[in-house]
Amino acid sequence: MTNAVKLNQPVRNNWTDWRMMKDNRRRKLLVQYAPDRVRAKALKKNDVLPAEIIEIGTKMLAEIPRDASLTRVRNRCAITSRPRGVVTRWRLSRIVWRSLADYNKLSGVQRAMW
Amino acid sequence: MFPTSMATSIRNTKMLLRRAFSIKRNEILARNLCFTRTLNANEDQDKSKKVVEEKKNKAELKEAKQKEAKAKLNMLLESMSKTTQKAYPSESKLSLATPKIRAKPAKPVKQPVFNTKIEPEMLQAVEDVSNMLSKEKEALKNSLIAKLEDVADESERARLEPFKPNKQKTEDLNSLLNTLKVDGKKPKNKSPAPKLAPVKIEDIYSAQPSGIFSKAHFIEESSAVSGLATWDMLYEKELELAVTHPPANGFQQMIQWTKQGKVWQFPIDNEQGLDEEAQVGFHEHVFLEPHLKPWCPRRGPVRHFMELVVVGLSKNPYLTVEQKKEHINWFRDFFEAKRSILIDTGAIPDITTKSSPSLST
Repeated sequence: MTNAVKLNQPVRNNWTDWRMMKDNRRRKLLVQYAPDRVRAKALKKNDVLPAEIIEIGTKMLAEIPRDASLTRVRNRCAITSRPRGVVTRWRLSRIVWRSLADYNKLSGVQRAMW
Repeated sequence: MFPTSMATSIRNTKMLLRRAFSIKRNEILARNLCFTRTLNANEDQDKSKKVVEEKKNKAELKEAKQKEAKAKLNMLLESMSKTTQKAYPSESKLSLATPKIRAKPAKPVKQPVFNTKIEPEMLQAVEDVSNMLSKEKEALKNSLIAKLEDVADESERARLEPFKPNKQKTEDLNSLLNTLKVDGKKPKNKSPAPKLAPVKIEDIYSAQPSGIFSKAHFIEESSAVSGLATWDMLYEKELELAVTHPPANGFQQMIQWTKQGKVWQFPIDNEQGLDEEAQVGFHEHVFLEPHLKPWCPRRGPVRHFMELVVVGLSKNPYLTVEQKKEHINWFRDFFEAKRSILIDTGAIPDITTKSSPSLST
């Protein structure tokens, strides 16, 4: 499936759809803000430090953009951008996975028979 | 069937002739039809010759009859031409409407010459000139027309042939131009250009600077920032592509990756590529208390918090030692910034008399 992404059509980006593009953007933000997020969360979620510090922690966490949250990231299919039915190890939707497996493109994948 | 004889009354000759002729034709056609049918029916080769003979005879007969008919037709037509005048007068006796005849205005006599080589305007000009200038108008006109025609011919020839510079002609032209130059008109009295005093320069570099441009503010040309960012990026990409040679197929791609070390080596080692990290000992990852020692207070909520942080980091296999240190340092800076709040809340004991700037006692 070398022609999964069409490169000869006029497009603004080469993502399958906008949702995939947004998901990619969220992942990038996640990586960028990860340390700040961890520290702010540590300050917020503890009962050891004084309340003022905890308040500061909550404010810091609120300042971080929402798209930097891990919960907003969705493991989509890399080719079709399908949000559900994604085989995690290959990052492909079950349909694409099946078609590739049938054409013998997935290493070690074989039709089950027992 | 009508009688085939042509001897009938004059009034009906036409009609009868036509009918007879058509009947004659039909007869002939019918005969031919039957004949062709018989021909088609007889496909035997023995009878073919006979059939051909018969066909020839029939053709001859047909021709003869046609000739006869034609002769008779001609005779009748001749006889008819005399009689039709009497029978059918050309002028009608009916009083029909006729158009009014208006006397057309006398138009001026147009140029009789339609010379293809010379334009009509030129011809008109020639006419006018010849009328005005001399008495022998015709001779002058003809001579002028002849000259114009010659010119036209020459231009046509020159147009068709490729151009070859004629030396004699160029010489003539040059001489003409020279004469023109010599006989040029003298310019009229114009206001002479303001004449400055001639500057006497003895030594160029010894003179003092005039200081004309000392206060000048030259407007810097705005740096050519092209608004075509995409174009610039694509141009750079193209340059890169021209220099590098991306792989043409999968084999070349695999070769490139192997050279770059991106390909898994067998037997698979999970820590392939993490050579630097392998050199760092586990003690640096786990024992992080020395990083707290310089700044963190020995007791209190801050210490408690930082100990928890350190325990968490010691159990984290995904961060490098540098990242862990950075993490701890960030907290140090944060608590340093919020020192006043910590003192107010009582997290840190109030030590105003102490000279050391650190948080530790």
